[in-house]
Amino acid sequence: MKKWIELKSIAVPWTMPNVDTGSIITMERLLLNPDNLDKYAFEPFRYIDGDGDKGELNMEFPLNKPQFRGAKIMIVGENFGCGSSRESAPEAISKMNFRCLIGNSFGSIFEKNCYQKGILPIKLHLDMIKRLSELANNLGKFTVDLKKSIIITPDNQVIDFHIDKIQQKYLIEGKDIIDETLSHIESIEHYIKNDRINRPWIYSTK
Amino acid sequence: MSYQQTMFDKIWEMHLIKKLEDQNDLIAIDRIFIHDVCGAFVFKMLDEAKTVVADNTRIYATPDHTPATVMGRTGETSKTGKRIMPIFTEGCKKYKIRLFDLDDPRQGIVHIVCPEIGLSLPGMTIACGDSHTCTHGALGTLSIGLGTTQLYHAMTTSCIIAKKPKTMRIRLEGKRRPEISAMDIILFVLSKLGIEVAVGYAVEFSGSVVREMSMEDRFTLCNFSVEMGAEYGLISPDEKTIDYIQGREFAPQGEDMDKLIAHCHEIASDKYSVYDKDIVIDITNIERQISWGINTGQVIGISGTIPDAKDQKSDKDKDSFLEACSYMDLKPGQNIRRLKVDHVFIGSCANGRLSNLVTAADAIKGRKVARGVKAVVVPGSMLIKQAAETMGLDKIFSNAGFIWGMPGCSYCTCSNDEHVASGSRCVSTTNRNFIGRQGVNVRTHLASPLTAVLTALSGSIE
Repeated sequence: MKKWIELKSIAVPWTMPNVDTGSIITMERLLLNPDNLDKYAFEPFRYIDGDGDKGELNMEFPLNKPQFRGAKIMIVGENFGCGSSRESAPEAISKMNFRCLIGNSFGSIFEKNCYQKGILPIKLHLDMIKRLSELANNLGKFTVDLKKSIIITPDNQVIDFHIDKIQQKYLIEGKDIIDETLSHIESIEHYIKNDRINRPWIYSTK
Repeated sequence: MSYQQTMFDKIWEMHLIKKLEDQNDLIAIDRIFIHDVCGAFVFKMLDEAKTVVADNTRIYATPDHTPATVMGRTGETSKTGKRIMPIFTEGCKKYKIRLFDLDDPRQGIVHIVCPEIGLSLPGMTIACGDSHTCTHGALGTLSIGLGTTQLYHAMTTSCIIAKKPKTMRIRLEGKRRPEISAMDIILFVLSKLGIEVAVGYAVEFSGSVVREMSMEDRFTLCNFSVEMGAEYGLISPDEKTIDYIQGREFAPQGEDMDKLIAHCHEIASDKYSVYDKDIVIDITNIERQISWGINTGQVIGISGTIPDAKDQKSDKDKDSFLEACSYMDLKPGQNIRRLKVDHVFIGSCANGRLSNLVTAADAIKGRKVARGVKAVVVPGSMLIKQAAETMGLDKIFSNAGFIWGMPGCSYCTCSNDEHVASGSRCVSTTNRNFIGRQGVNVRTHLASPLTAVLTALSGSIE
């Protein structure tokens, strides 16, 4: 996992609501083209006729507009990443070089999967999303500081965001959260020992 | 009065190993289920990490996503299966995970198979690399869908790190008309509450309508919890739950079953427990429901018309509404009935159970699928397929012109080369109508098995 502490970048606003993980990367692509997820990310929106193999870009789609090239931040619509639990969705976004999504709400499984792929999902109020979208359209540079959990807008306003302390630690260190769990191995073993007595049917399947 | 607690809180507390920083909890996972797609991905992670699974006796696998559903299929009939199935079956062998493979009489959609053979049991915590894992909650379980890395975490540690969600109760009250199915009810609920109502919540379904529902219908209800944004959907165990689990192949027997039954009473929600959000929905007199748009909240009654832009509550709803009209090629005010369709699909973890197939077959009444419509019925598991064939349902479907398939996700996930033809319109008993879900530019209308059959026979939405 790519670790990161601070990000300075323009942001691309694409605030369509309810973008599901299947539109971020289709099942067929993640199964048959797992090494080209960046090419096929957002395929139904990004390409004419929704066909990445024909490869004709839909220039109406914000991510295709030349002025937003190189953006590492995407400002997204409500309920972004709803639907399927596929981790290939944040993976595809990560492979397009995005590191941060700013939105009002995210699909709950997707939100957790983002951290596993080094992407920071930030939740802010709708009014703020609207304001940031306008600033993004003017191509100003945003700074996202993971340690201080703040965004500095192009007009130098400082916005606090909430990030889970454990996720923050592991994102900064670029480590797997499994280390955290394994540090509690004694508690886990103790739980299982007692549970075997309390609920034997859990452990006695043929 | 003693301390009143919801079932969710009780099961969560019972599985709490340790409280971690920032309100994270270390939660024990009792069972892990894997299908071919999440399996292939997680085995790759395990291989790369050169690590072991914590307890392979509590992990079970069955393929459902990539195998073709045509008769005489093998794992390699589809392009995706050819790629995924060998990794999946090899992984199960390598990590010694019990696999109900394509040649096993129990194979099927993981969310149908595991309850059906008694692997999902009340009070359990269940994890699976699939968003519809919430389905198992109908038995009174905490069941959660995970991405690959979290699934890998669960397999190697038998636990997950999670924040406890808030609780929501949706009480379904009133008297349902005989033709109204669990699918109609949940679509109606989504049309009223929207698809974000339960983000951050565990949803418990209750009320007289749920009490009277069969277990099979309860699975359909809980299956849609994720479509309202919830991580968990559940129903408090009652006598129907206890009846359901008894005698199933992997369910405990004798003294252990007695203990489990006592446990069911223990974990049931207390009568006066308090929820963070409490909603009552009256389903009296609702008619059959069908989705018209591109998310599961865009639903109307079968005699209804496409809504108007000015009736949309927020900017967001308006944006979504315009996108939906354009993608679905529909205009405000247009009737949903009589809209011509090209494809009908009956099956999936939402509506692929025996009672769904019985309802569908009963509605045929000697008629034939309309010309130009491709109609497919895919049973949810081998056990369902066998039971349906014993009842002669396969003949009823075939004689009417329906294609009878082998168990799997089929036209719901379309991850086995089975796509609805580009640009066509499809009535489907599945759980997602997102853009492109069933194929490029395919217009999906979600509906009950009864509505799907009536539509197949008439050639237009009926």
